[in-house]
Amino acid sequence: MTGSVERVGDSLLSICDVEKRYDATVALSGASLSVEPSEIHALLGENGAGKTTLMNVLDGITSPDRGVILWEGSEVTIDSPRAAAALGIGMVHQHDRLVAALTVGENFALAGGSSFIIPRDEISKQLKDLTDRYGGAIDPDARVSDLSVGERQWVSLLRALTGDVSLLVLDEPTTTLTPFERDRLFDALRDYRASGLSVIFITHKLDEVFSLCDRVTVMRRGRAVATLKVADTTREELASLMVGRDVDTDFERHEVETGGALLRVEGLSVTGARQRVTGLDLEVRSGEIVGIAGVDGNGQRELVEAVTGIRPAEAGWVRFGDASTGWHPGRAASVARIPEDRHRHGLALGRPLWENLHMGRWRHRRLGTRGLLNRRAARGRSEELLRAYDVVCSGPDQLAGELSGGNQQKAVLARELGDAPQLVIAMNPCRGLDIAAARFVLDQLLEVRARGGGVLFVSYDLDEILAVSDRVLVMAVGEVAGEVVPGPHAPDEIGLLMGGAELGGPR
Amino acid sequence: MRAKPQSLGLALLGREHFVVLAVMALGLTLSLAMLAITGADLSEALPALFNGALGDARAIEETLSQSIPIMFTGLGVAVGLRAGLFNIGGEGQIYVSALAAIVVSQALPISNPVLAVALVLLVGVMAGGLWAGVAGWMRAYLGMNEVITTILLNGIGILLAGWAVHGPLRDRGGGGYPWSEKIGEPFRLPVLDLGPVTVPAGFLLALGAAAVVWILLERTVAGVELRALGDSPAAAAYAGSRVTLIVIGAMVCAGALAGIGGVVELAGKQERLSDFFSPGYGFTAIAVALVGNARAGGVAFSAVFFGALTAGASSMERIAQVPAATSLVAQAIIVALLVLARSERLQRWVRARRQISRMLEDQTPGNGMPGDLRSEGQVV
Repeated sequence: MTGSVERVGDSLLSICDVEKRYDATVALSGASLSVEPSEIHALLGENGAGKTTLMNVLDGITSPDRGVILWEGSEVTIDSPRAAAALGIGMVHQHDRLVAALTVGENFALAGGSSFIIPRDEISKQLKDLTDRYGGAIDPDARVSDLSVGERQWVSLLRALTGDVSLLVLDEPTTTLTPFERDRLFDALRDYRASGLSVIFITHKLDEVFSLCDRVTVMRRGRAVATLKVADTTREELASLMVGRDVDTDFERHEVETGGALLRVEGLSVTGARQRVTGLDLEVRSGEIVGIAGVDGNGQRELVEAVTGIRPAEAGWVRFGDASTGWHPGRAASVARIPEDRHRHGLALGRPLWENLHMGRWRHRRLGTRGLLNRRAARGRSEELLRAYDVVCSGPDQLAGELSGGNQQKAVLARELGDAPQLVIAMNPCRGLDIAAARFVLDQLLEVRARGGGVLFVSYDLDEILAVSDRVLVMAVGEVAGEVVPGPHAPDEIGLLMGGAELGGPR
Repeated sequence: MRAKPQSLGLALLGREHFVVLAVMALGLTLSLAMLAITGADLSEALPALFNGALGDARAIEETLSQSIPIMFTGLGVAVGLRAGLFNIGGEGQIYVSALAAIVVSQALPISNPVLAVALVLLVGVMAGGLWAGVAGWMRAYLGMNEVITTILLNGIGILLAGWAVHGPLRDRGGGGYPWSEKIGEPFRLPVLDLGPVTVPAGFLLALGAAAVVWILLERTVAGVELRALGDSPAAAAYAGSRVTLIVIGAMVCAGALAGIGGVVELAGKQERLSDFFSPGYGFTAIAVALVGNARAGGVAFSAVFFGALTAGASSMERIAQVPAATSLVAQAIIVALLVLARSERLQRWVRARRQISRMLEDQTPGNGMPGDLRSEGQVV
């Protein structure tokens, strides 16, 4: 055993030298981690570093090839999420595991799962106790598919907190939360620690490590490279441990002449599952990035769906360039669309990369002659794209579903941006990505701007928006509440506009 | 995932093919065991089964002839499956296209056999395509589940053909059977004499259809779009694939294939349309497509296999007095075993075994220090 686990005896949980290989890839090679009682332990690493795989091992979803897990000092085998829950491990996954077709209460019943008849009143009461304690009123009868990503995450967290839990594991929980929701979550976690429980907090955001955590284990390429006390370390040290090189966080923004309008939305009204957008106007000109800020669920998704032609609008127009393209504008090949959910909307996970990289673009890229596929050209072009966008994979034949999250997102970018599009519509393109990968995505958007393209950039991450946008529109209750130009006071102004929305906002 | 071949035999077969062959062998063995338990004389039944399927030129012709309609309809089901659509409507598509072919052949008495055959085949393509296309259209524009609509269209199609042969198309001099007059001489498909064996022309058409389906699925732009749609409809739509066009197109193709199947059965074999025209070809097609893994070559192979089983079983009934329904039992066992073999859980278990054996291999000297695994490019 080569692991460097100290004080195994007192630890709540010790993971020693865990290894996991998939057919061609090594997900974990010698990952070790120990968690003390009453501590918030950060697990920091880039995407693909193995954090999520390690947590799946802990949750019994993935069985390790080698290694030992000690729980309160004795060796345990965790072969199912149920076994993990029985030990007292509560999990909140990055992509939630709620059943979308069921209500919140029914999802709670699934987790509890001992009685034959759903104990509705009991669940409502349980949920009310939890929300009284941690905030965020949730209607137990709301259907999960009608909730926003942020709300779903909150439900997952509350569900993980039910029962006799002594270790809570959170996989990148703040990705989709508003600043307010995040603070509420952090308060809840501190409260937790005070009552003697432990938390593993998976993240790639350094700020969160410093504001919340006691110790931090840094993972890189499947290995735990260091475990440090947060008080004894610096941002620079953690950042370089994490990526194995120094990173700078400033973006290079060239002066670009703004030109004519590439996208014009006039009087757009559209009704989605959660929010109705009414009479919305906006414009994206060439050479600019227009950020759309706002709390999740204020009509951003409806706007994007209408603009990309996924959801029919009730009134108004979407115009690209000079010509009106009616309601299926997304077919225009010079418009790139980077979806919010890369698993559902970005990639066909069961198909090889080379098919994914040309999806929807076969004719535009002239990869067929009279309908027959030019396989050599298609594969050659996809190899170029994989190289240009630095997608780590075994080649164009690898299935899209076998890549890590960051590499999947790069593959989506490669497809959407590969033809040098005039207009890019991106929704949360950096969701769940680590520093380096997120930076890569934002650099690509800036690149589009630099060559005279336009970007409509919708994100729930304010820092991200302010880093690259020329103008920021703040959405609240389905309308544009105001426009802000990035600058020293921008965060406050945006906060005010967003906050106003939250007071009168939905739910 | 491409497996590295372990031996020449496996390299030739590939894993999926191997599983299917093993399942076929096991299914046959189990159904024969059932026969033995029920008291049949296997020493008589087994040779009858084999000789009836492959024993001589006549038997081979019968096997090929039995495989024609299920190959066409099986290809139709396969095209749907690859697009994520479950076409249960083969039966209705067969009846409707055979009905259309009879009507057209009676209305246009062409004497040139080449023209006549081309005409009824075209009519089959159009009638079957249109019939399934209705289900495709309802799926694409109205969001109606194609499983339900194709099943309902089966009822309409079968009863429509039944009404026609009891009423307007009934052969008055046909001995009282509810069937149509024979299709005109020029419209019939010949049996070709290819030296040692005689092959129904329809069989060559079916192989041709399999080749066309292979090209369509594997070598055309529409085929890739269709496969992407089958894997992930949401992603295909978001990326700008022509979803409605592909859904309707896939159903039209599926129906057209079943439609030719119906016409070939009519013009190459039965010659009359009756209300017992198809003994469930449209449903056998689903088994054929599943066993063929929805691949064109696989479907052609499994159709011939099921054709041989049917031919062999009927000779077994004649010679050894064993019920021909044995072939249906074998078919059902094979499908059940195959569904089992393709279950997620079993596959996970197999993967785990394989991983363990590979790790054991890695333990051999010079091949197995964990450090070797950490080469940069391999990490997820």
